[in-house]
Amino acid sequence: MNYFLKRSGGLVVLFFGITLISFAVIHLAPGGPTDIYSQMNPKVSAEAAEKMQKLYGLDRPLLEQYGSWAKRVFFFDFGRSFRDGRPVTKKIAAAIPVTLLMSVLSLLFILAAGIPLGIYGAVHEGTRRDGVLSAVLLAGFSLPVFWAALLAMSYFGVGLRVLPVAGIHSLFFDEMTFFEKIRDVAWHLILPVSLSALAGLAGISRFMRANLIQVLKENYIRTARAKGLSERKVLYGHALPNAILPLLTLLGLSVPGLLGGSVIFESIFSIPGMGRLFFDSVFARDYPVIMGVLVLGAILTLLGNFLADWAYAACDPRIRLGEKF
Amino acid sequence: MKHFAKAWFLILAAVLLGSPFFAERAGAMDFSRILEPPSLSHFLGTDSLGRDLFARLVCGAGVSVGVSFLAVFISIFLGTLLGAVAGYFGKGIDKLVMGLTDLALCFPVFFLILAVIAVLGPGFWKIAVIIGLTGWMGTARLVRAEVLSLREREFVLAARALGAGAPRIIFRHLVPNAARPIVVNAVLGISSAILTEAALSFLGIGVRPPAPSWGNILNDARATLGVAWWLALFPGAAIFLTVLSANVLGEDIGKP
Repeated sequence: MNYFLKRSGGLVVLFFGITLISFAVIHLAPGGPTDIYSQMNPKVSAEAAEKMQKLYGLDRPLLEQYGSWAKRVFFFDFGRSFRDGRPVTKKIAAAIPVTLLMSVLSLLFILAAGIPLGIYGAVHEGTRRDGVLSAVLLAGFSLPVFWAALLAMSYFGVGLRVLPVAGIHSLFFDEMTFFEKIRDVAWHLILPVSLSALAGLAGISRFMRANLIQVLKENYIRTARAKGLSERKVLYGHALPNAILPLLTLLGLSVPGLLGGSVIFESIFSIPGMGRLFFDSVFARDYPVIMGVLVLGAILTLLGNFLADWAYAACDPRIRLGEKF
Repeated sequence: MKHFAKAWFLILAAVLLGSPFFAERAGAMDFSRILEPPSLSHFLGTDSLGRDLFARLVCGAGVSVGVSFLAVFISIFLGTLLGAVAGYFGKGIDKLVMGLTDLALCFPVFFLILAVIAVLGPGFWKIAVIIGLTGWMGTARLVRAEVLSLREREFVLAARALGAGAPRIIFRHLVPNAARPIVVNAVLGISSAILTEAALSFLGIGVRPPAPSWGNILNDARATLGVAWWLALFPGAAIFLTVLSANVLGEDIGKP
């Protein structure tokens, strides 16, 4: 329990740091956020611009501004979008499920395919097959995903016309029955999900392979073999549990990558998720939304790390008991 | 794989040296010859403005490789400095620097880069600096770990006994001994920096057209996806080969 208290304390400090950096990034803007309003609209007089500055509290000292902003953020109030005046939290809440669905689906694919591939490579370490597999995985690891997405779109969508290339549902979505809706969404998600899974697959299986090779060299594996256990039992009973553990940490750390990837995939395939929302807001310089997504993204990352640590501790007594080794 | 990677980097070096000769050709538009497939006069075809794709790829190499080298230089410099200082001095300084590293690792890097570009606007130098400033954390952790294990060794003690100060010990004795992992990190950093720059330019917020970069040529290709396969294929292949080569070399150097 002591371990978790310590971690939680660290999280609070990190959260403060995150809000501070997000706040600083937005105040890098020369002149300040309201300049966009007045610059883009010549009808805005100097007087009106000043009024707006007052309205947003931009005439007060920076530290005071941060204080009041942080206070609002603490209660999940990120203000309203510059573009359509809707609350930022509403916009984000509408976008999150889509990104979450895509991320979870592709993570499932990654794990389902990546772990067996890694095991296969480690078991056959040094053989020709492992060499070929490693080369392919390294190539997959180096593949620019947006390029792969472009080629896949042009082949399956434009060339063969078999898969939809934009959006997450068809035009007549509202008139469909429940099952038709599910089918429709799944149909639209095939390309983006399989491509984002492809992007993460290589990394996970390379990591898995390296871990398992390391573990297979341990003394307790030799002991297990020496006492006559079958190779199957050695591999799945003794080696694998230890080799899979570090994967938890990697999964926790993969949240930023998934979020970054969502920007690319969602803008290529016009999917209305977090990445797309963020990207559009960046183009429109919609500061409240940018800040909101930035803070939320960082919180999700923190959460990912924390969950990974928690799962790790739950599985590994050495960490749970705070033992140093 | 290794020889292939080295060969690709040699080709790339030759391309970089030759790129000034292609600058004029890369910008020359010819509206009577738009979207032509690869042919003898246009080795890799032409784009939607009738510009020669090969010349644009050659010039784009300078931009893509330039941004990533600059970014990696910044991130390796920062990471090595922070990691070495944290590892050598320990205690409060170590806690502070590592806290900062953890904090930086919490941000979805790509979101942060996008946000900063949203505020500052795109451009060659800004992109390089931002990628560099958001990529030092891995190096810092690595160098710190190396320095922690090195600083108790006899040669450091000897240097201290001879009266060497902290900066001299760090930069003359500790950092050179951690050179191999730093170099590996740099080479792998190049591959990820090229990918990041290409992704940014692909999204239309990286290097600004008409200056060609591999990413923004790919971005142009989106508009003509069903018509001109060569516009989508070749720039991506250039990115892929460069990233792959950097990864292969990095892995090779890292082998003990």
